[in-house]
Amino acid sequence: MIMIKTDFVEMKISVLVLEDDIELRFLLADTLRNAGFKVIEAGTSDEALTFLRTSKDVSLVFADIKVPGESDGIGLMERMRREFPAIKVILTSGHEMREAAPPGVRFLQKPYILSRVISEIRSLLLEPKAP
Amino acid sequence: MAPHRVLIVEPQLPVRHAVAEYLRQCGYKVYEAFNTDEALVLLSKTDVTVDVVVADISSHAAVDGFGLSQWIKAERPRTRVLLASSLQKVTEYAGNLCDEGLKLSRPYHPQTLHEEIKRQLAAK
Repeated sequence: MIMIKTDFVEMKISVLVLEDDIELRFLLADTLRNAGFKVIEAGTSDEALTFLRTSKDVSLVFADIKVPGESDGIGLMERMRREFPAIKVILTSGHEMREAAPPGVRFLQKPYILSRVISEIRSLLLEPKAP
Repeated sequence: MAPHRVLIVEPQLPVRHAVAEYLRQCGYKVYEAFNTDEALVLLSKTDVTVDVVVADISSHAAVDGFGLSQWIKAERPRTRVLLASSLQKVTEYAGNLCDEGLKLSRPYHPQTLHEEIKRQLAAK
């Protein structure tokens, strides 16, 4: 389990992976679990949002932009900014959508190297949340 | 010894995640699928081998739990299948039960599932 250690608090780190390609989601989730994260797997933006509304312990969402559901990954991120501003987000896509990602939001182009995903997640988690 | 592998096919993420996490704590390697479509992709297009599949009879996909069970019997005969359903659905699907057999009534406690998985693994 990945723990972020501060002077007073140890926090377990949960990452929600939103990815509709089950082969990739399975591989990614497996890799992240092996790296010590607690992983929640979602295949649609609707189930991701439902889970976020019922769970308090998600620290970061790693979301594909093109996913089924009421919102795409960007729409989900915008809703999260309103409802869960403390949760950090990394967007990804196999399409050239870097420009579509809002300024300041991390974007990882597919195909990505799994170790790169881990390093991006770790570095974003260590980054202070923007005011 | 490598851990036994379980595939949970469950459309409700909070349920799927809770059951999967419980089984991981019990030492299983757990795969998660939203519906039977995803389960079939995982079973047919990857090199993943699964010891037990847990699936609801109904599914938000073209193939229901029985269809998935039949596919597994034909294509992955070493894999055991546990079908689950709420009591209300049992009557609806009663015609199929004589072939497949219902193993779990929803809602089930993860510990009940664990016991049933152990029985299935012992029967392999």
